[in-house]
Amino acid sequence: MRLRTYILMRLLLTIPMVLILVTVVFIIMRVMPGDPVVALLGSKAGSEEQIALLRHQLGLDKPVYIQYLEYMGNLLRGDLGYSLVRQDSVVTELATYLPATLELTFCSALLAIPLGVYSGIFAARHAGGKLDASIRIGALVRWCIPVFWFGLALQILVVQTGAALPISGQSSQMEGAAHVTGMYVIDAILAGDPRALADALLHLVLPVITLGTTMAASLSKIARTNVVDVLGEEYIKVASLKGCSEDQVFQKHALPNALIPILTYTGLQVAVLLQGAVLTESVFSWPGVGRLLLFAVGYRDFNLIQGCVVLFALLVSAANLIVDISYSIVDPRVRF
Amino acid sequence: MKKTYTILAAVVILVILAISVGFYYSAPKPSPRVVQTLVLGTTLDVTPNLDPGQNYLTGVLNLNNIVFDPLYEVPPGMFPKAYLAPRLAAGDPVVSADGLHWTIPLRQGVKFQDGTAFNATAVKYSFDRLSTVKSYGAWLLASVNSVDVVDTYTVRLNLKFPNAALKGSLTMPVAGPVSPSAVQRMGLDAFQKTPIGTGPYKYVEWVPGDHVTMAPYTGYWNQSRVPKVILVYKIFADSATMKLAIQKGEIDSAWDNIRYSDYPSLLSDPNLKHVVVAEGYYQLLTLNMGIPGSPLRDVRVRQAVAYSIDQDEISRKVYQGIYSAANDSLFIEGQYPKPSLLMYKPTNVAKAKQLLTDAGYPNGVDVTIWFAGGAIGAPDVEALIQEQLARSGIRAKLQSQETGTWYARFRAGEFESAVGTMSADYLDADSTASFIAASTGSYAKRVRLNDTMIDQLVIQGVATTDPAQRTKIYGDIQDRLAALCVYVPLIHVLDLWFYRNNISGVQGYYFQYSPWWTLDKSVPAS
Repeated sequence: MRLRTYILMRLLLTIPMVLILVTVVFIIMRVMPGDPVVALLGSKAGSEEQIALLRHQLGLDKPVYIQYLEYMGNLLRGDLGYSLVRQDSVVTELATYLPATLELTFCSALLAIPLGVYSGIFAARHAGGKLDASIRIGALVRWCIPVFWFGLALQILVVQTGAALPISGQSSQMEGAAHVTGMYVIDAILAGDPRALADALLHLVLPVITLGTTMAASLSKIARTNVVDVLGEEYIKVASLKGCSEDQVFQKHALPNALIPILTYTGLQVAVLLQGAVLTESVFSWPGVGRLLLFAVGYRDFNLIQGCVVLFALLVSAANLIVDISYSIVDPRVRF
Repeated sequence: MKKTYTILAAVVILVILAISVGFYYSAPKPSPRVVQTLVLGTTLDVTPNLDPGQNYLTGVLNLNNIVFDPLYEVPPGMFPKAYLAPRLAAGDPVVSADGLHWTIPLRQGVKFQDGTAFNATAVKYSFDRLSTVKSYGAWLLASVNSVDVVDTYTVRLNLKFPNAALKGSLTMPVAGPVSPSAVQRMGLDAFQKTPIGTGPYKYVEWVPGDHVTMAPYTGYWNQSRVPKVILVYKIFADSATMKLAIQKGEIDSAWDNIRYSDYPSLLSDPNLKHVVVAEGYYQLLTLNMGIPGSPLRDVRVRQAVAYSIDQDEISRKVYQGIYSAANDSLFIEGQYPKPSLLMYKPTNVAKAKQLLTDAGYPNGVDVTIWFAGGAIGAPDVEALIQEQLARSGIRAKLQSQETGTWYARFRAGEFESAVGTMSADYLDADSTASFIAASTGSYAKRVRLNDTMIDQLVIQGVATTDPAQRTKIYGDIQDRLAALCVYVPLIHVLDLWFYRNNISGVQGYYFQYSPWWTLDKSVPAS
């Protein structure tokens, strides 16, 4: 199968996956008590006439199957509906908040992957020693700590020590700062504004450490396990007996074989990264899709919740597709 | 070779980062601006639609209170015991004898932030447009049938029914006139993002999920209220982070929703001060009269509950004495106050047991108390209530629910009893009386409250504008509610507004009538 065909097939498979996912979420939201009208108006306000009018405006007074069919029809046209609480189209809301999430998750992955993989490899090459034990314990401890707790602890540490690091937000609301893409690092680079760049980078430090170390911890464990397994293989011994140096054996024979499962695991971790982003964005008041999703759940904003789910599903699919394609680079035996 | 390039690339990136950070910290700071920027932290998010006629979220209400002038206001530093003062109105409304026509004189010489003149036509436009847009606040003005332009600076509101509470509704941003020319020029979509009013602040920037920036409107009609600072309304997802941010100095003020458990550490912080903001917000225990088979259907059992609750103990043990006990049942501070629930004070366990025996429950009763897991004081308040009721032989089973689920099931009246909160939507006793006391009110329906005397009193209360008569009427409503014992108030919630020492002009205020135009900031000594 050629690469183009493979990509096309994977893209086509994404469609039923998203439809099934949205259907499940749709059913769950309708089964749960409450709806956006009630959640928005709270426990007291709103006459029955007003509630009925708002429900009618949202189409919530229609039979559930009609609502479902209408939503699916719109979804296939790329229309994710209207957010009652945000009073804006869901697509617009997601487009507004997505760049911040992409910036956070990308930077977190940029920290997590080299940190996790290299620490795992390092530990594997010193297997059984103190360094190996230290890395393994450190990774285990970090993996066990909930991401929101870790974030809060970092914030408290910064406040108590008086460190000059921002503890919230994506920027310092600097006057005249460019907000073009919503990814402030890129915006600052495009605007040629070094102060804004530094401000954006500094605001990334704590959230990226919080989210990135979570992913790095699990990657480190997987990397170490795989490298240790590969180093125990017969062909590694053969390579050594042939006269290859330790570095050559490791880089030419061990690492490429160990990387494949690590790569697979990295792709799966994208979903974990997005899940962690929801909590991290909440702790650090990062204006991303994760925070938007929390807001939507609290207000039972059906369309916004479904829209966030669709977006996350597409992001995870895209990440896994990229990982699958990258196999052919890492493993020359893989051909499409 | 590959390794060398990798190391080299890493070094180059690190050097660039280090230079940027170094530049950030070492670059000469701009000299203090004539107009400082004050960052006000909040957990109340703001949605993309800032149109005062459409949006009813509390965060947006607070912002629009300073971007738009309503016709009447609660003067800063004064509470509803005080007079509702004219703001864009030039005086009190003249109400016709039948209560159906309100003639309101308007202030002259006022300009919208886009330079257009404010007049009666703008007021009429602002009211009329509410029926054409998706408005969550229009119900506040549901009694207004039409608006007439009497002359350039006089409007007449024609009501569907007499409504003495209308003046309270006219203090809300939904009644704040918008610039008609701005709406027409910008189109509704753009207007929603940066609406134009006559208020002391104007919108400058809204960065979704992060902050809203507002600048002083130097052409404001009341020059004594022209703000001294640029205001940045910074949104936090979590109050714990906001608390850390004000301690660190990342924000100048933490305006709302600081958890009461965090008050002691902030109160003892030498870099911070605070004022008390009267929220008009109560916590109460609602007892449902209408659940088949429930012992709470009997008023004596409900009264036994009231005799068992010790609000002072709740305030002391859960809220560290910061919140005070509440004994009025209309839940709107200062409006015709009558602490009718004092008839059940002091706490009297013996009396409660006697009432249960009289009701046919000598061995006590079993009840269920619902509460939302994320609500204020939960689950400590509920646990203490459970303990207090147990002293009288009332065995309470606690049921915690997710907030959205709680709202839905609470609205459906499925609960036997529930701990919740109550506040007024607008500054008039009718704001709560029509919901909780009148049998047509959505709250009253849930507890199956259907009392003819109360219904008549509510109608009378809203039909007369005479303060003395209204005082008597709402006092009688509260007495009757106390006797029926459907709502047992617990505490009166206050907010503490914290701010750093270099901030001045902070005034306590009521509810969402935020007078942020008084704020000022001096550059802290370095």
